[in-house]
Amino acid sequence: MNMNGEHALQVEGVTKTFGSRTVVDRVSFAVRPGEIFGFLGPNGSGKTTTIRMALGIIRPDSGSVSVLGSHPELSVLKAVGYLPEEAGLPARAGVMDIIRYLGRLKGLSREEAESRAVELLTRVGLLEHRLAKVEALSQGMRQMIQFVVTIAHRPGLLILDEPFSGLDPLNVQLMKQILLEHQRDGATIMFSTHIMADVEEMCERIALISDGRLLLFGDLGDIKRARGVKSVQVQADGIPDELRDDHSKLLPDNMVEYELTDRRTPERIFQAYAASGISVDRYERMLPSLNDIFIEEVSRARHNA
Amino acid sequence: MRGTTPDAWVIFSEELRGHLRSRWYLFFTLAVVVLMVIGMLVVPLFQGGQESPGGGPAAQEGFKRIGFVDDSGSFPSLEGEAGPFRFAERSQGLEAIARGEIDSLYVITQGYLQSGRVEQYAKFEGRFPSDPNGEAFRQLLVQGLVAGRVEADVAVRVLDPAEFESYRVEEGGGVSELESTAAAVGGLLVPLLFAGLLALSLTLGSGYMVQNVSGEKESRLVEVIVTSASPVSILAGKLLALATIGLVQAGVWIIAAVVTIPVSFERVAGAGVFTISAGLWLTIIACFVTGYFLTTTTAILVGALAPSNREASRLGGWIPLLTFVPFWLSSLVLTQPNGLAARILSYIPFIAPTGILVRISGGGEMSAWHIAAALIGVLITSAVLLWVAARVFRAAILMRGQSLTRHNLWVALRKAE
Repeated sequence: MNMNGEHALQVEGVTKTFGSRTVVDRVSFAVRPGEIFGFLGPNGSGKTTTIRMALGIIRPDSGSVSVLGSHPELSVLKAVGYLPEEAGLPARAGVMDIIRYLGRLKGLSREEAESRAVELLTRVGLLEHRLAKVEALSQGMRQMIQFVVTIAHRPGLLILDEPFSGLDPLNVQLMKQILLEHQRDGATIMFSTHIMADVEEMCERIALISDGRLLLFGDLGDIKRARGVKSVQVQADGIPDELRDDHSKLLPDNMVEYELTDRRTPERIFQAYAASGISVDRYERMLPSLNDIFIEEVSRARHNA
Repeated sequence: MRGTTPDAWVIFSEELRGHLRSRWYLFFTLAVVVLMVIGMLVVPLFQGGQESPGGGPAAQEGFKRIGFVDDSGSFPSLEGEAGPFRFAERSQGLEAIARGEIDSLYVITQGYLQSGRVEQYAKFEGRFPSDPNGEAFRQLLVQGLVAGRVEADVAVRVLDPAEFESYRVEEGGGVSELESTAAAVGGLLVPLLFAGLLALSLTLGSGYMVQNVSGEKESRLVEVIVTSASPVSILAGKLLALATIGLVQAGVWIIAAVVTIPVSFERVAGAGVFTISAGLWLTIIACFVTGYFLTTTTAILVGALAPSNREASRLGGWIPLLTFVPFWLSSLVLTQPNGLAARILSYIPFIAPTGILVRISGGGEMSAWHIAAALIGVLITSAVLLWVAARVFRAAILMRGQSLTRHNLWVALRKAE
């Protein structure tokens, strides 16, 4: 693991124990400047506790954290945008008021905070609700307001705990688009989620923890390639007789996925099609999906424990 | 980005802005002012009905509604053109009541001089009926009895035998004139009024703060705030905002009181002049500010420690209750304002801000030094609680959803920074 002082976020050997329960156990990972990093783990795996330690909200029992090259002090954390899991906003607060309040706390002037609020509310289509109370908004709208609060001060590092939960697909798409724009502007983004498709779509690198222990960390492509080709997908007009068995799965559009075994290699599948004279439109060696890797790694870790 | 404004100031200004726009705050603050103005307008109206029957025009007007039957023969010239009206028979008088011509009929029975017996007829209403003309007719009887039997000036004194002038005998045997009715009533009412307003303000203020902190905790907004400002800045900002709110509220009420209360007394004939001393105003302001400091600090601590909004409301409910203790014991504090109970109440930090005012209201003797000492005690307690709150705030806010047990409290204290 490359962990020099150039990382936007570096977590090194952090451990946290509550009572007799070790919630985070010697976890280490680092987020590079300018990347979108996925922080994965099942429920109760220690993601939120790790994020809280990374932000200095709670202190680790051991290990160290570095944010934007420094100890996570308030002066450094002003440049961080944090969206907590299941975050809410005070029901009685006004939309504009709460954006201005937290924007000012992050270092914006009153005028800057208000102008940024108008800009972002326009961007997320909620400008007409700027004078509304939070309690008058839907859950999805509140989540978007919380997101606006998080990015209002143009943070250099964004840490988002389950940012897409409670959002409809359109808002998920909008949030991803805004995040990508921030990345293009130089921001580093780390987010946790249960939705593996989101991670595969947005992240170059990931860390996976389960029961407080780091299971995987690194480049997503490398992690997949390290596991090798697990199946082959073929799009053709027919299926060779010798390949019809329990290890194949029919997919839409004349696609068939063949699970690889010791005797069924990609080469043999290809040869079977060639021998049968069936015309092949598409042939692809499939790396395992992140979902498969997640299930496999977490299951193995729990089995070993 | 500017990055120069202290976080505490940002929190203070934003919290203050929220408070000042709160409908309940505005309503409560202005409602008291309106009530004071209404009081100023209404108080003089009550005095009219209490004048003596022999004196004012209102009383003379009242004789029109009185009728009498003299079976004793002792009052040959009691009637007048404008009343009371003489009836030969009781039945005639009762018919006059039925027709609404008079309200009360008095039958002076035979042998009145020996028995003093007078029958009284009226449309008595309610569980505890009273006759508004009874005292007036009694005075008429006195006039009738002495007329022609004693000299005129003696007759006047029989009707009004004493105009008391009261003097207080001091400890050393010297005497001093008693304060006017206005000064006495005002001296009782003004501190009591502000003690009541303070207790109500603290109830609303502490309830707001408990909900504010526990709401931020429950919504996890506080996690964002603690990554933006230190616990000390957060507490200081919230504390100063609510104390300022209390000060503004007290200021508005004091201005309203300065304008309306003396005018109210001036409009009551014979009540005398009432002016509120600068010392009393200073004491009221000091009680408001220190009361807000202590209550707000306690509310922040309770809000931070409570596991949920609902639990926070339950736990926070006792804070304002303490400020009402002097009212529950008012019979003791007002009647014995320098007694042991009153003294103790004015020095217990959570009770002192209202306790001092109730004690002053009862005429208790509290020197400026005693008041200062009691309120410094309130401030010291606030400072200690603020210190504890600042230490446990970060740990306590993360105890989301956990019951507030002694163990959890101890854990929060141990994890204090």
